Amino acid sequence: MAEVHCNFTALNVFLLMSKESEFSKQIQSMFNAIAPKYDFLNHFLSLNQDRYWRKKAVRFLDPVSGKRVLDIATGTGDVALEIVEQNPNQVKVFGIDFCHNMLKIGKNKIDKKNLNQSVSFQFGAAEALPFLDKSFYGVITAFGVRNFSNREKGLAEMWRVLAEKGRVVILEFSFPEFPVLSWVYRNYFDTILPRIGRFFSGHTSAYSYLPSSVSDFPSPGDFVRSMNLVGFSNIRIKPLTFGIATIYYGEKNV
Amino acid sequence: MALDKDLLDILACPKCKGDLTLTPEGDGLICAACKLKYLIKDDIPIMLIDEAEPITE
Repeated sequence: MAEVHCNFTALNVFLLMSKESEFSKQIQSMFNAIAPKYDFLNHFLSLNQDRYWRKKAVRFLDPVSGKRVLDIATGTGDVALEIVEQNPNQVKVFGIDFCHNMLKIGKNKIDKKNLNQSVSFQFGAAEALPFLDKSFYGVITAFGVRNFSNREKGLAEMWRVLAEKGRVVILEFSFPEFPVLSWVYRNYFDTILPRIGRFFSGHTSAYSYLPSSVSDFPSPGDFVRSMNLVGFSNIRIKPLTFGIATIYYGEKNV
Repeated sequence: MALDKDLLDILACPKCKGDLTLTPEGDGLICAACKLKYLIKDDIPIMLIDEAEPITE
């Protein structure tokens, strides 16, 4: 009986892993395809609010001078750049992403601005970070956590690579709570945004995936519970632009 | 350009989280425990388990 149970569990683990790996591959291929239009569509579809959201998130991170910061799902490097711009010559940013085309664009931006000493990129997955324990004082991810194939594993990895007293900042889409605003926004987000996204990116599903993945994302309260379970404390939530985006802040106090 | 020195100090195998060794040619990072080589392309290490090359010898 024990053996049957064991085999069943092993099969479940295998199926779960295959599902996660399949999901990761789909996300990877989607972002590789939309990479050339990614920055433009971010600014256009959010009416430039995305720049403000990133600025705010980096302010929450408040990197300590001389300490390392990790930007997970750095993509085209906008958060990494924002960190350097807010803290010139003070921090070293490590940006990690698993989409080759996105990171290539990020690398070009860093090269053009001559910031190779301040920003270093790696290809890697959020669920299996290639860093030693306690390597960073700050970890940030903007619009990335929603796309993790295994959110718990991703959060646990953030915890692992953070040094004691380190901070985590997670920026993610959410929905406004005020009913009328929520109705207007949902109409834009669910119906209009996917059409504009499809038109400019030429990708049939990427901008339909966006609203559906935000709908599937846990409520702020539930997400805070996940952060708590991993061990983060002093957790704070900051809704931005009527709750269209939310900053989650936590500390590793052990 | 060589791989970032600060990066080399903190990089670990994404699979076992163990130490890595830079190849003499500087084209990859080896995890002896997992027998995997993570390639470095355009100064960016590719630290994805799925894309690592198994070491046979």
